[in-house]
Amino acid sequence: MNAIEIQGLEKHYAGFDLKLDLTLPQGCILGLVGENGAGKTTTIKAILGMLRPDAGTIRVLGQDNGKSFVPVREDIGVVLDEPGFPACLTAVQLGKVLAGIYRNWDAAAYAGYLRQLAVPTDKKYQDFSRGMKMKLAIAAALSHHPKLLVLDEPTSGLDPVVRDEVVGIFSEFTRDEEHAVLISSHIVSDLEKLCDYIAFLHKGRLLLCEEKDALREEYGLVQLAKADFAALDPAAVVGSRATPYGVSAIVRREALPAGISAEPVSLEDLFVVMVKGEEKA
Amino acid sequence: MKGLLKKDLYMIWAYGRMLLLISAVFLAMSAFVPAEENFFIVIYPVLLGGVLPVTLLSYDERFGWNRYCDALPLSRRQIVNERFLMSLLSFLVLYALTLLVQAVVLLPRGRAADLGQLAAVLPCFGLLAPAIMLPITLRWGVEKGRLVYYFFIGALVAAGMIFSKQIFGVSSAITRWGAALVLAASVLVFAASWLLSQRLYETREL
Repeated sequence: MNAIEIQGLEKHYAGFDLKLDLTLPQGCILGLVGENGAGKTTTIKAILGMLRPDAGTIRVLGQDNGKSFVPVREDIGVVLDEPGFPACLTAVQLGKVLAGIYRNWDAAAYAGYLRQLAVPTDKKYQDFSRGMKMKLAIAAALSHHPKLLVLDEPTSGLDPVVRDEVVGIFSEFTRDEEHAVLISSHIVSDLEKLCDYIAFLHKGRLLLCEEKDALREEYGLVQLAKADFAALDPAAVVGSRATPYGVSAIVRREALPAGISAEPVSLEDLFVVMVKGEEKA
Repeated sequence: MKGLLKKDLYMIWAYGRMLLLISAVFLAMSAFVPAEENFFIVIYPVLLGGVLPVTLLSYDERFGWNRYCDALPLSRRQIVNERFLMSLLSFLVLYALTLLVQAVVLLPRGRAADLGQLAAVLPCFGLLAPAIMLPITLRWGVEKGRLVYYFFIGALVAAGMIFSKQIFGVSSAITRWGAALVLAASVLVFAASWLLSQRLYETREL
């Protein structure tokens, strides 16, 4: 079973259209990469049934999210870009509130996550730093034993050490084959560490959605002199940039002529080049 | 639903303490000032009881709780039900306290009929405010709800001042029936608003 299946999703706003097909298999982590306004949050809201799509269907954990979706949310852990907790609550009070909402709320697990992430229990949420707020949201999202985590920019605002810790928690979560994670982030390096699948979203359209390892095998980075670059088959070139020493280009490895080898390309570089496709030299 | 009620109680304690204190002062004052002379003092705690949970909506909107709540295993209907239940509970607590104080004041003076009419008219002040504000706030947001709030409170208090003389001391069949009618209308409007809010909130995109 797929954890998420989006088919023909359409959502139209003034000046923005989202059109999307996307699948997240169970047991996998899918990273949604996109610049601001690309449609990541709209996609996440549509998955969670927080907005009405203009067209298309979304199935989450095998259930159509258009009707009778409330019980399915018991199995979904959510971190929104702004967590949305009342500023006057402490972490302990928030736990008591959520215990009255989730049937599977595990107070011991929540206390464990608070300890692990060093979240103060008696401090009010309004006095938390951005990073601390995110850590509390992550603890809350994990403490009812969800099968699916939907995370909108969960690592933003976290320092590198805590980010690493959080990435570790998400990795641990997907050791169970029934678990899946959809995570959006600007910090592509986090997704590179964490994800099995990567989806690039740009202006409401999916540029690509592939296994991370396949992306690495498919694409590579070459540094060429201008003349050598000009001799390349244009179909091999995803994007390029002129440098003082020639041209730096992201290419499809299989279309490269023999004798030219490509270095591994980072997801961030690949994303930037794909978005700026018009920058082709 | 239990979790939502708990959250609202925490928020009332954090943000509504001052209003509760003011209500307590008004309750104490109403024991010494005859109701027919300053009706506002009598109705204010009840009015506050009804709208206190509505004011929490503005905090919820500011914190983004509404959006987060939408991702939790709660239906929109449950969220609306909790709002109305909280308003009702808050109103009932202050309604009971107001009647208690007024019973202590009026019964020893043999004014049981006045107490009865007051009991029938007070829900108009405690229930109509949330009944009008909640659907507007839930569907169109806090700003529009606040505009209606100021207009409504002004109109209600003015009406209370004008008709307070008819509520007290004139225990005719007409005033008794009038008071009963006001009570029935208040309850009906509150119930209708509850149902309408469920429909309106269902269609809102957060």
